[in-house]
Formats: sequence, structure tokens, C-alpha cells
Amino acid sequence: MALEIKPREREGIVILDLSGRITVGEEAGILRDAFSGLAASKNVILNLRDVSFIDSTGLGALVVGFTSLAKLGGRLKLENLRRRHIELLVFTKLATVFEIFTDEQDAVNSFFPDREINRFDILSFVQDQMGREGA
Amino acid sequence: MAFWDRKRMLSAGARAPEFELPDLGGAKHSLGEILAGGPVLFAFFKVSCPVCQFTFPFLERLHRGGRPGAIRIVGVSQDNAAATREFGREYGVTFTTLLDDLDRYPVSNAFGISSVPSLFLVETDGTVSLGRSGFSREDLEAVGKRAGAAPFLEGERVPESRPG
Repeated sequence: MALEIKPREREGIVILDLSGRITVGEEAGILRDAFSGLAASKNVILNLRDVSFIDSTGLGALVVGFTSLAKLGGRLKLENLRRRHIELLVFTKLATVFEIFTDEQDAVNSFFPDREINRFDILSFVQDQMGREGA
Repeated sequence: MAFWDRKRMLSAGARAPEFELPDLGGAKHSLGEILAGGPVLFAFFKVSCPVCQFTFPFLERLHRGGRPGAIRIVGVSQDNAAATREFGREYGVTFTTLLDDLDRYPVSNAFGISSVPSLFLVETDGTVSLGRSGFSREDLEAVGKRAGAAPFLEGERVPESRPG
């Protein structure tokens, strides 16, 4: 299934609802084009709830989005990741680069320094994984 | 990417915000000074944006073919002067291009844009009569009609729209 991207805004934050796969070929290109079409200085959240699979090229597209937005004064954060997405980010150490949220309001609030937020605890996730593997 | 459901971008009926920005030669231009010469189609863009690269040659046709004083085209770049000059060379852009402030993009934000290209037709009294993001054949034809120039060649295959 090709990647579909539906853009919307919440409190001035751009939210891209992705559905499909972020993989080598057209899909990763669609995501890169979407980043290219964003105005400078925009803060962006990628909603990965309906993304079934991300391969290494897709991961590269996420990194390109992160760096291209940062160069133009914006930030990219992720929400609603599936377990396998988180495992991929942990395995590649990109979990230290991307801010991850399980709740969209928390993700939006994270762009506003005066608001309280609940952050996704990657350490708990890793410890949980290690516990499962050790069991 | 689908078209946006926008709430913040200026749309028809809104008042364009006053601003002052430098052109590629460093000369500053205010909104009031620009509008004194007639209505203007402002086109916000980024050099790396594929839909901007697609759209600007059509805007250049409006610029070259339009009646004097009908509608002028003014680009507003979200990149630095060197990259913007290179974009102009590559895509044949000769109309005036202004540079938004790269620290805070105040003019882009005042117009409420989220994606590029974003086009705003501003009348001489400062009223926005068209606000659109992405490429729209219908909009460019309408602007062309007012400008007295055709943006598209006879038989040229141009899509109805391309989202920004």
C-alpha cells in the first residue's frame, strides 16, 4: 500500500497523518516531497499510527525530515508509534534523536515550553524489552 | 499529499499584514510601496520545494506577458539570497523576489502559511482576494485573465492541481 499523507493543523503545529508503508521507492519519496513542501520554521508531528512498516530508506526519510526542518527553524516529533517502530528507533539509536509521544495533546504541548507534558519513557521500554527477552 | 484543512492562512477578505523586506539587491520594499503600483500576487516559496519549482515558470509567464499595472508577481523566498538567486537562474524567474527573515520568518508567519508554494493576490487597498497553497490551474488562469497573460500554452498538459 502506497504511503498516504493527510496534513492538518492543531494550535499552529502541523500534524501529518501517515498511512501505509515508509519504504524504499515511491513511498519514501512521497514523504521527502511532503517535507520539502512544508513552509520554513514549521513544527511538525508525524502520526505513525497507521504506518505498518518502516525500512532503512524510510528511516532515512525521517532523518532527512528531521534535519531539513531543523535547518529552517522547525522541529519534527513522532507520535503513536507501534512497538516495532520503537524497536527500530532503539536499535538504530535514533530514539535519542526523535522525541516520541503516545498522546497527541502531549506532543502538541511539547512545543509550548510553559505546558506540562508526559514524555514517552524510552528507558522503561528498553527495560521492559530486556525483561521479556530474559523471561 | 492531500490539500490542507487550514485555519490560520490568510484567505479572501482578510487584510494583508504590513511588512518590509529586502529584495535580492538589498533594497527594502514595504507592502504599501509595492501596492502603490497595483495589485500583486505574492508567491511564497522554498527553493527545495518541487511544487514551487513546477509553479514558478508559469508565474514568470504571467509576469512577462501581463499588461503593465494589471497584476504584478512578487516572490517571497524562505531561503538565503544565494540559494534564491540560483533558483531564479534555474527556473528563469525575473520578477522581483523578496527575502523573508531567516531567523523567524515573520512575513510567512503573518500570512499564516504552512506549506509552499502559497499564493496571495492582494488588491491595492491591502485586501487579500485570493489565498491558496499549492498549485491550482484554475487560480493561475483567473489571475492570468486579470493580468492579460496566459500562464499556459495552447495544448500544454497541466494538472488541475498539485498540493504544496
